[in-house]
Amino acid sequence: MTSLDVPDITTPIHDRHTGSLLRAMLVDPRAWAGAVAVVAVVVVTLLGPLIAPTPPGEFVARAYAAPAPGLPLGADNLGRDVLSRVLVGGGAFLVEGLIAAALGIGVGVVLGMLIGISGRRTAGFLLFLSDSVMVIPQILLVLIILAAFGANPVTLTVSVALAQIAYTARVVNAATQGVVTEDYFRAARASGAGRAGLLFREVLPNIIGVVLVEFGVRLSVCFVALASLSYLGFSSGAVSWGAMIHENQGGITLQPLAVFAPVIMIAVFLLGMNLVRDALARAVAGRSAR
Amino acid sequence: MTTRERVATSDTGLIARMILRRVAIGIGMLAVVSLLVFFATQALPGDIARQLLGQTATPEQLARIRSELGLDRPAIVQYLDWVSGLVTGNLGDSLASGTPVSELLAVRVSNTAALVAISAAITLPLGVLLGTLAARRSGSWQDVSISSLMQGILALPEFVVGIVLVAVFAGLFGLVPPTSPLDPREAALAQGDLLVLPVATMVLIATPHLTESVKTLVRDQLAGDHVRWARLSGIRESRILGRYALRNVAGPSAQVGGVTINYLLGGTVAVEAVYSFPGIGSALVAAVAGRDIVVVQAIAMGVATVLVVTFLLADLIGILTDPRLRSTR
Repeated sequence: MTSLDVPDITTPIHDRHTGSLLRAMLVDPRAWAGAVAVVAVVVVTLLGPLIAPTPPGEFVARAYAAPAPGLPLGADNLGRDVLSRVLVGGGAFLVEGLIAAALGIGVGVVLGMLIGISGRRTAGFLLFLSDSVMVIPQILLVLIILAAFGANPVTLTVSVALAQIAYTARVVNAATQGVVTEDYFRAARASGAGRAGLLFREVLPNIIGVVLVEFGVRLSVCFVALASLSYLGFSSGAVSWGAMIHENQGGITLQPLAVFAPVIMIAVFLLGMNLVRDALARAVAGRSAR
Repeated sequence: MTTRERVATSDTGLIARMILRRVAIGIGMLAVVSLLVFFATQALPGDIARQLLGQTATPEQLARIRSELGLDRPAIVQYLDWVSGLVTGNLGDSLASGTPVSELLAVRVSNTAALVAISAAITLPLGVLLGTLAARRSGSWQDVSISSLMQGILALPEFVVGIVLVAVFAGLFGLVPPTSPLDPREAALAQGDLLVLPVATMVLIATPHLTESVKTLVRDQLAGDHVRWARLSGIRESRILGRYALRNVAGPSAQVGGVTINYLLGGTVAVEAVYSFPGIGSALVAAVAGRDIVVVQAIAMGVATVLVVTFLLADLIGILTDPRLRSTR
């Protein structure tokens, strides 16, 4: 043997710029349709409080009054303007869902990567813990926390975020497994890189596609959870789409718009989000196939 | 003893060891869940005594009720007390009404059990059937339309699916009642007309995930070398599907079936709310709203136990149908 045995370490393809993903999505008509739906709902929600014709709590007509001039969507179970309530009822929902997903994915990604680079025993134990949490249906997990602390903007957001962590950690751990066997990761570890350096310089840039898709999944799940909670009576704002649906359900044949106006807002938003997320998943899969 | 017999006996021993191991893991999971449930609800500042007496209670009143309920003992003692109660079937008394939880929930458990059992009996075969059909015609218009419909339903909250069904079948056509206030004196199964919409909703919300998963499993099998070989050997397509593809997916499908039961149990919370169905889900929502922690704890542990047993059975099906899954690791 004449020279030192230096393994051939190919430079990792650190794909820091997500430009190629965006380009792939820009030519996807389904991504456009989804984005238009999501943006429409977000714009309505942002501008809603400014353009609502009456304060959402004001009684303007008799209960379940049909649509009439000046009352385009009719009145709800207490005679309040449905249009104004739809315009105002989505704000807290959108903000809480976004924060919950960001919190959940943040903690879940770090935890998943840590499990991924841990030894077999530690990883096995942590996965067992996450499996145990995942045995409980998500809505039940959230309700247990709300039972202890009551429903307010903070407990709603945090409990929904907490319910995401085990799922994200599992997905991210699987993706990390693919990185830790690569030579560039072994080289970085052998060269004495710290744990944080390994996770954020070597692992994260190489699983960013998986993380983005997972963020999309968690966003949908958080919004579904929050909509359901508000339907069940646990929401933070005075007006919320889920609660509107519940309040007016008894009059669904008399005044269907009082139920279906908020239903349509929730459905358009979630279906649009689903289209964008699937387009993102296709773009990520297409890129890793190259 | 022939070789075949020797293999069989060593296999039986292996299977027994595997089952014992899975049972141990299941018990371990329930222990983790019980710690989580207890310490999330009881050991934290959200104080039961204050819950019972309200904000105006004097410190003396609070101290008295704390010692009556044993809340002044160390958390670990309270936890062990609670767990031993659970194991022996003593679920505690409701904070709101004072009645024993087991009495409070008895009828509701049987109602929800009927709802989930009927829904599962429809969903499981339906999902496997639709998934297999979609896989056989992967990429065809049937596949694409089944898949988009499933994705659409999957994207929506359960209660939205329920509301749409109420509006169409109870409102528009007047075929079935819009709510399902079951009579507690009668068995749920004897009140079939009240079960139609809740069951339909449960089937609709749980089928998509199962269908999509079965489709992926069967499609991967049909693209495998063993199926290509069988096709080239001229084996009939129906036999290929049964013996070569579906048999191999029995284990993983059982796992997905376990997840389906998880979906159904989680779905009962919203579905029971939509139809005012007197079951465990609506009891849970009422208990959370009233901060009745004892009832919440009991329901959480009951649901977790059912699901751990379900996943155990799914594992068992996998072990028994697929020799490749038999290892002690």
